[in-house]
Amino acid sequence: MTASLKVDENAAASEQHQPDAMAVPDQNLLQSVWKEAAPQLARLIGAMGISQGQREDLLQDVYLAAWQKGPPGVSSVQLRRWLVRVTVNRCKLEQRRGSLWRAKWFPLARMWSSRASADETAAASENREDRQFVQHALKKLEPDARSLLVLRYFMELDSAEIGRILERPAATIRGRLRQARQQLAEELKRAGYDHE
Amino acid sequence: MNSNLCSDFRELLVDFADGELTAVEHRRVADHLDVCPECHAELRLLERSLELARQAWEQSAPVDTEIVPRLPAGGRAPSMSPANRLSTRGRGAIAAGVAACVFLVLWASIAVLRPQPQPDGQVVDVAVVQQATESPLSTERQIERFISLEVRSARLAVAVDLLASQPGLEDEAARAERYLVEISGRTQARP
Repeated sequence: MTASLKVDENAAASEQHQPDAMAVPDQNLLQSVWKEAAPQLARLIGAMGISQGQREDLLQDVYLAAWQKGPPGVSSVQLRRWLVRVTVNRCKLEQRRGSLWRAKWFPLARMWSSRASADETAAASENREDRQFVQHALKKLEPDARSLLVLRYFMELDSAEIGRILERPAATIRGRLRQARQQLAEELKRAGYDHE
Repeated sequence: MNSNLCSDFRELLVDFADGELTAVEHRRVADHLDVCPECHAELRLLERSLELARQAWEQSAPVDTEIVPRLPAGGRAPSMSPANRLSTRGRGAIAAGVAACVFLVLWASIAVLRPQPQPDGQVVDVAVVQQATESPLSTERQIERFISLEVRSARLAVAVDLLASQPGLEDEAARAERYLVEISGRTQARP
């Protein structure tokens, strides 16, 4: 079973009562946490729309950041949350950098990718078009909104855990999630998607 | 249906879909959805958009692979300067871009430096002009041609230096230098 980014609250609570278990930034701790979390971080990066060629570099950057600037005296649970936060922030930075490029070239790329292959079935064609609609709608979202949607509905973290990771109140996270869902639906409708 | 009432319920649709409402609120929204086709359609769109987003994320997310962080020998992490953050592919892309620009300059220079037909139909070889310039420059035309040739040769020499400074492009730099020597008539690219 794939390791999850979800936190076992009992383990988190027990770690907090064992100050001797904390390490700073201990190589063994980083290696063990990284081994568990890295595949999920890679999925998070992919879901945030980072291109294939940049994913490994971004993951490498996160690891180096943990190596050089990782928080001292933390538990494995806290380190995992720190890794997720750093990964999300790097993805948002990459998205902001790429947004100007996409605004210019996305219509061309969309035209290119919307070509149907000769032997495509009607169902496959409809699926392809649906995917294009939602990809377009996702790219229209603000990086912050997109990151919240990915963490909540793809990484399956609850609002409270997202709040702990991003160091924001859970109620704020919940409110932003509502807005992000409504915005996604609105973008889909605006792009002409017919869900009926 | 009353649009004010609907807007109140629409605020709750996301929480309704996520099961975040209390039992009482859930019942209220469910009763409203039974009688309001617009809100029902809105809920369907919310659910469908999330379903499509999940499919998109699944497709874009990589399969689980062992991700081994790269650190240089000695265990010291490289600095986070922009130059060090470039991947091999990034450096290759930049080198290819530089080479493309340099070849464009070379091509443009070659296109201009090739023998130009004169108004009277005779083609003047650059080497002939070069020989002529070894004797004192007597006409304005000769002076102009000399200066133009020198400037273009200098530009080509810079392009050769730039190519030679890029890893993996030494062969291209050597070829460009031989061409420069050939067209300028000198024994070496730079004076």
